[in-house]
Amino acid sequence: MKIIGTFDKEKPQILVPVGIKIDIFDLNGSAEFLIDTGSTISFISESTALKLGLDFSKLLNIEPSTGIGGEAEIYQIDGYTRLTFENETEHKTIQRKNFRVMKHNFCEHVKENTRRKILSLQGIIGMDMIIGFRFTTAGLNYTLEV
Amino acid sequence: MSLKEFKQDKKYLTENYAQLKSEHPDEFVVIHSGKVVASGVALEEVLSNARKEIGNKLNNSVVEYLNTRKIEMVV
Repeated sequence: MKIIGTFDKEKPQILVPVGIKIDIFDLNGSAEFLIDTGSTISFISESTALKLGLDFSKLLNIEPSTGIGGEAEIYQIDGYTRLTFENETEHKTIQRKNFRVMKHNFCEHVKENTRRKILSLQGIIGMDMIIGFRFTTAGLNYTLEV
Repeated sequence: MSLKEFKQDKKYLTENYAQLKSEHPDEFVVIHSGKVVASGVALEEVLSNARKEIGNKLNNSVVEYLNTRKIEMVV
């Protein structure tokens, strides 16, 4: 399934709306994921976790990681998380086992509105998923085939 | 259906971004069915207020921080 778009010159990034279903907690929702070839892993960010009502105390804290403006804690969602992509005519669901959630621990020097901006990041599709996609760019146009 | 609602609210946000930013500068907003249902500077409080207002429909709503400062995201 192809997702075709055009980069905004002011904000040249790819944000893809994704439906989320977390089997173990029977939670559904939606978020916009940044396609990020600089991230080795894919994850749901803290703001999306809070929006969906995910309880961090029920998640396995697996490893600390260097994040933006400080350290980040990475949690694992046991079982399957299903991510649904769609274009105008079709949709495709990809299931991921033990999907991750990232929670930021900001350094003291990070300003409040910068913290809020980072918190507004909803999710990342990283290289662990991108390697299964076909991703091409041509000038301002991009095609993501999932 | 729920992803469609999310995309519609995202479209509303994009089309009304300048006005929303002037009404809610440096605040988080929660948008559902083309309306701001909660806003404020503390994300958890904003989400809690939004859940009281729209219940589990929050899960498919749009949450955005309306930043008045240009911050480049380098990840």
